[in-house]
Amino acid sequence: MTSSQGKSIHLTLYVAGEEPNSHMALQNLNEICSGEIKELCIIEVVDVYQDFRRALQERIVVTPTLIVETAESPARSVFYGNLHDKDMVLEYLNAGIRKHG
Amino acid sequence: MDEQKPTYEELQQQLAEANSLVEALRNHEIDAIVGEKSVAVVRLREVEEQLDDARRIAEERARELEAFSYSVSHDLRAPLHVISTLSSSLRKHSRQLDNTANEMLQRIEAGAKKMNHLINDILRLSKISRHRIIIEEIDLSSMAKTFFTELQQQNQGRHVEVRVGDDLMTQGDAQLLTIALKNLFRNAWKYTSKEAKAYIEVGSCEQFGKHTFFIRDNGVGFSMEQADRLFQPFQRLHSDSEFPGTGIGLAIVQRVINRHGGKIWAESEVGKGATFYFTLG
Repeated sequence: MTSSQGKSIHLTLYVAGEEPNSHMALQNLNEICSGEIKELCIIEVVDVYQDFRRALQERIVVTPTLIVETAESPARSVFYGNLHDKDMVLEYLNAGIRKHG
Repeated sequence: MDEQKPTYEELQQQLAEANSLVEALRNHEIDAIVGEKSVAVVRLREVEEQLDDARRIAEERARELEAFSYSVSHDLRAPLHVISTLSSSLRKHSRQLDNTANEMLQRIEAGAKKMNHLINDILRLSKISRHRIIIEEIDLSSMAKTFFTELQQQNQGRHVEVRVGDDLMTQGDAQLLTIALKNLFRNAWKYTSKEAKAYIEVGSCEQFGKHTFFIRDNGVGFSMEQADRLFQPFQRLHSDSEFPGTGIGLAIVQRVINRHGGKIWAESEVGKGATFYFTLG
């Protein structure tokens, strides 16, 4: 992974306060980013109750929504739900690092 | 025409995104919807869990009640057997008894007989709920014709005009539907017994947009005000001396229809016959 040093993955998680799925999504996201890719992850949490305008601007329709962006790629990926399938998200992030790293 | 076509990769990404949303919705992982003016909280899972709990409790209660009535009926059989045996032993000594004692003995015997019928009916009713349903193609027309032939043979003195529609086909459990239809036919047969020109018809029609079967008779009928008691076990709308019975027949029929996911209801007017309608799922 040394080749990917200096690159970053921007993860924006849109949640609805402490609603159960939102809470679980944040917990899962923290776990996903706790391993080897920890250094690369920049996590931002947006509570749609607090920052409604931002959610509208980003066209967020439901929560929890996770938006993954990398500096290298213009495309962004979107995951919905409480991220219970951590392996799937992690695999996606790793694939992104390999590709652009 | 400068709008760019999405690349294969972009399409793949959009598809993955859509799948993710569908999955999240299906698994109840969404907890809020962001509208143009506010955020609406979604608690589908909680509502569904509450419903599941309520359903589970109701089913448990029904099972308990079923088990209770089953065991009570079984337990009642032993003492009833004692009463029947002793009263028939006593009957052998009837010469030594005076008239009043003999009359009492007769009433004990009749009571025991009635109780035996009731116990058998309760057991029959609980059997319907325990029965494992096997769905197959059922020909209600030929079933009806067979029942009426049987009834006619058993009651040769009676003349009843019977009309059975052709090709009354349905899907259902043969054993349960036989029990239900027999009960409906026996009812029609019984409640037309005082008519000079008895008439019974079996057919099908469309009711509330659903394929519905019916059995119509021109018997004594009943008042629609009493219709809600009709399908309750041991409820009778006629006196035992007028039309004998334990009041379990229609309760059994309703249970059979319910187990098929169908509905049963009746229309009647006193003295003008009755029509029983039922759907099967």
